[in-house]
Amino acid sequence: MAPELRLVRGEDDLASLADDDLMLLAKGGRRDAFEVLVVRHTSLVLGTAVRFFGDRNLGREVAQDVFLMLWAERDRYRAGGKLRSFLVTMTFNRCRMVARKARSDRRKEERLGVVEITTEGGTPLDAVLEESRRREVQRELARLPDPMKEALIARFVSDLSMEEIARATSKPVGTVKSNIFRGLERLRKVFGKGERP
Amino acid sequence: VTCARTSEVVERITGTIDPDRIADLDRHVEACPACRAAREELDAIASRIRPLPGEIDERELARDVATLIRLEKLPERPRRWPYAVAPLAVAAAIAIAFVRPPDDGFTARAGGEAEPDRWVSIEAHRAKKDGAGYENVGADIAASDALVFSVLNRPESPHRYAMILAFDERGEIYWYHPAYVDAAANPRSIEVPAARDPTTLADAVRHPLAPGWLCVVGLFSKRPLDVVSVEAVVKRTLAGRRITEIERLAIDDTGQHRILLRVEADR
Repeated sequence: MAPELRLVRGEDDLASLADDDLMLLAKGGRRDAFEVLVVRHTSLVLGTAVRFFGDRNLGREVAQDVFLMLWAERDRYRAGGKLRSFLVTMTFNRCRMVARKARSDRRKEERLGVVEITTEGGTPLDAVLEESRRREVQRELARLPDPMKEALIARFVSDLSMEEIARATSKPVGTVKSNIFRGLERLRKVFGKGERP
Repeated sequence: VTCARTSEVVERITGTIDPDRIADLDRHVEACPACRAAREELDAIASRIRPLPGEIDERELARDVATLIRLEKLPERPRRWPYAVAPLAVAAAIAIAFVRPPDDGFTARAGGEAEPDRWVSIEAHRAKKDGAGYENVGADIAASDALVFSVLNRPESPHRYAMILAFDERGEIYWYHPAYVDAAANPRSIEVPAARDPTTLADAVRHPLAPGWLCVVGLFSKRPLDVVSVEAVVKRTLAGRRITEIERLAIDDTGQHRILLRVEADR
C-alpha cells in the first residue's frame, strides 16, 4: 500500500520560531533555519558594522564574516534569548580585528572614514546638506574611542537596551551609560554649533 | 549658557530616563535655552547615527552568506588560546585518546580524521501536498509522516556504507536504513557509492513517532555496522543527556550528519 504522505509545516513556519529555536535547528545541521536567522538579523549586524567603520564596503565584509563564523561555531552558542547581544559582541570583535589590520594596511586605512558626498543635479539643497551632515556625524562616530563608539552604535543602531549593551560589551551598565554620555558630548562638541544659519 | 540638568537630556535621548521624570524634564527643557539647544543638537546627532529606513536592509548579504555556507567557504577563526596553552591541550588530547570505553564493538572517537563529517550528509524529504514529487522537510514533521532520505557521500569520502536511524527523547530508536523489522535479525549498513550528487534511497518509511524532538543521524562508515551494536551506543549516548545536546554518536572512524526535527502530533 502506498504510504499516506501529507505536508505539515514548511519554510514559512521557520520565520515564526524564536532565535534560540532556530539556532537549535542550525546546530542540527538545518541550513534553512540558519538562513532565516541571517535574514532576520542582517540589519542588526550590517548596521552595526557599517557604523563602526563609517564605510559600507568594510561593514559588509565584516557582517558576512560574522554570520559565517556564527555558522561555523554554532555549537558554542548557548540558548538564553541573547542572540542579538551575542551577534553585536561578535560584530564588534570582528570590527576591531579588521580595524587593527586596516591600520597596518595603508590602502585600507585610506578607505576608513572616506566620505563620498554625491550632489546629483536637481537634488534639493537641504537634502544634500542633510546627507552631508549624516556622513560627517558617521565619520566622527567611527573615529571615537572604541568603548564610546560601540556603546553609541549598540544603542542607536543595534537598538539594544542598556543591559544588553552591557552584556555585549562586557562592561557594567554604569560604564555603558557613561560611554554613551561621553560619546554624545564629544559629537556635540564637533557638531553642536554652526549647523543652523 | 549651561544647565545642571543637561545630563538628563542625554538620558531622555537615549531612552534611559525614569518615566516618572519625563514630564517634569520636558517642561524644564521648554523653559531652559541651554537644555533646549542640547536636546536639538543631541536629537540631530542621534538621528544621523540611526540608519535611515531601507538603508541597511540588504537581502543580497543574506543570499551571499547562504551560498558561502553551502560552499563551505568559512572565514578563518581567530586563535582562542595563547600559544603557551597548546602543549597542555595536546597532552590532554593524548590522555583522552588512551581512555578506553566499554567493549561493544566500537572504540571511542578520538583523533582520527580532522573533519570526519565533512564529506557526508543526508537530507529528509516527504511527499508534496499535491502528490507531485518530494520536498525537503521543514522544521517540523507530523508523527505519521513517511520520510524519504537522500544521502551524499562525496568522492573525497573514505566511507562506503551508511545507516540512517533516529531516536527521540524517550529513548526510542527508529530505523530507516537498513530496515529493521525482524527482532531476531541484525541487519547491517547499506552500501552507498561515492558520488558528486546525492542518491535518493527508494523507500518511504513511516514510524509511529512520538511528539517532541527527533534526532536523525546519517552514520557513514568504511565497513558495514550492525544495528544491534549501534543501538547499544545510542542507548549509552542518551543516558542522562538531553537529546538536543547530542552532537554525535561515539563511534570511531565514521562520518556523521545529524538533523534535529520537531515532531508534531497528527491533527
